[in-house]
Amino acid sequence: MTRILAIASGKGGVGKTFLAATLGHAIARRGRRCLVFDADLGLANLDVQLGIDAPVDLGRVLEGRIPLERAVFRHEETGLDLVVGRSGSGTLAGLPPARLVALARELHALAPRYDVVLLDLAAGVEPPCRLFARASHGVIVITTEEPTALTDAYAFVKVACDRSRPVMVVANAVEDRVRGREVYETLARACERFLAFRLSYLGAVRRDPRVGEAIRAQKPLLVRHPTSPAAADVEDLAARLLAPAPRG
Amino acid sequence: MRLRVFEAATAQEALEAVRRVLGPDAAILATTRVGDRVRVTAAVDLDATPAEDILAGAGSERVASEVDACLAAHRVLPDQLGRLVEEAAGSGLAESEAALAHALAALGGFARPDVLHGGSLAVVGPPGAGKTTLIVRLAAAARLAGREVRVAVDGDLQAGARERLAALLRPLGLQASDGKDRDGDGPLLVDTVGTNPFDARELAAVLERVRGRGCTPILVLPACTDAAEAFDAGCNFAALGVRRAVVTGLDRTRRLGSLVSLLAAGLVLCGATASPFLDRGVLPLTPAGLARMLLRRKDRTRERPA
Repeated sequence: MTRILAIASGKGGVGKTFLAATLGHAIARRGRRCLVFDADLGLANLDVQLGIDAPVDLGRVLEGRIPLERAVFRHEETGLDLVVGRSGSGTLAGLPPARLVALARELHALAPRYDVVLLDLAAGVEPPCRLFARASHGVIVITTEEPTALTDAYAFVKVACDRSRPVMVVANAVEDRVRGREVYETLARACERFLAFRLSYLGAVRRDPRVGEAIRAQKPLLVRHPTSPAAADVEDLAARLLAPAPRG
Repeated sequence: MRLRVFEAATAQEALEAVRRVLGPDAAILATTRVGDRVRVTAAVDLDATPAEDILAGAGSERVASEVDACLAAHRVLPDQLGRLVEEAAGSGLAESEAALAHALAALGGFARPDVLHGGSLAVVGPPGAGKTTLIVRLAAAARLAGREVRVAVDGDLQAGARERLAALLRPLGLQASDGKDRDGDGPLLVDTVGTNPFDARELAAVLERVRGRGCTPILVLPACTDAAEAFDAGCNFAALGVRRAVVTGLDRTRRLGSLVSLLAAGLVLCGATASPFLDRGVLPLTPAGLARMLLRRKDRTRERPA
């Protein structure tokens, strides 16, 4: 069954788009059909990160000129299907709820063609983020160890997540895997103590200068530096995500 | 959440700093050793409302998604669904039921079934819609209220239909006339032959005849009609000047997109039947009642026959 997973952080610049593109790539490398949807309607940059000139973008869908399925295109280098936004379009971020709901409905109609659909949400906790989080089957919250990132990740869980869908945490840019789990536990304790909300741990991505280098070169990490520690970590995340759920 | 990091020579000193700065409700989130010092991460959230509670009171996007899911389950046509979601989300009302009622009221008209009593009327609509039984319900209601009423037939009813009408009217002490309207007191209720909603000439002929008898035409349509068919049929009747509609068989229908279609076609919903018992009359339909019914029956639309 398809899983639609929203990738969120609250704070900007903690690695949502990097995780969406790289995790999607790792999933596709495992032979699964994966769509990455740039749900950052105002400041989209999935295409910028992957260095592609998108033949079509979400702007035309939201203008009602084409259906969502025609905004999907194949990125051969990663084997991903992509829907990219239109960066700098303030009007897209201010869409009325009814239009957002219609978009989420179109996304659900498209989703059965894929094993996994990853939604790269915008920073913040504005209505589009909350609506896409509610339209997903699970949420991946990515955070770094910085207090600002932890505070904003907590804020996202508080206002956008409910107990009907799992919330998994990825600790990004951490020294090592032990530190990654500590970052997760810090966030998880706050959510459990203040919100009575349980998070689960998906894993960590270690701090790795090759991530920034790949982003600057506009190349997928798994192509540019396939043997880097960060690449190995994202491959582990994909394996854990695709592992069959334990029975019972 | 107010999150702070405290460093001190000992854990006790760090914890004292936590209490001093964040107060007694602070939660210790992490404790680590950094060189020869202790680092404590702590936080307070004085407004720690669980997410569900916030979402329950949250604004228009929750209303929009609930109304959208509900109307999609009832197979409401996409255009009408979009208009209703837009109107509900923009209503500023936090409850989906109230917001949907507001949107339904903005979409079309509602009238109490009282408008069916007192004046002469004719029921028109496709075959099998429940026209004859509606006539009997209206006649029964009039008799129970002690009012005089006359019943007549327009056109050639199908074989057996005339006998059925006569049998249904007999307990009320009424007979249906078919030629010249029977002299007497009270408004005239005219049962018509089922018409093809997509045959404009046939529709126009029926409407001309019943109007010639001084009757207001009332469209009768089963609630189980496909939403697109109901919209098209409603538009055709509305184009010929029919203003009011009654839906039948609500008790045996789960998906109610047809009711929304009739509103969108410009017809005023004057009531519905929801019982096989003819003495139950016509039930009122209001924006709030229809909204409640749409939301409460939403889950039943997913049931499958055993």
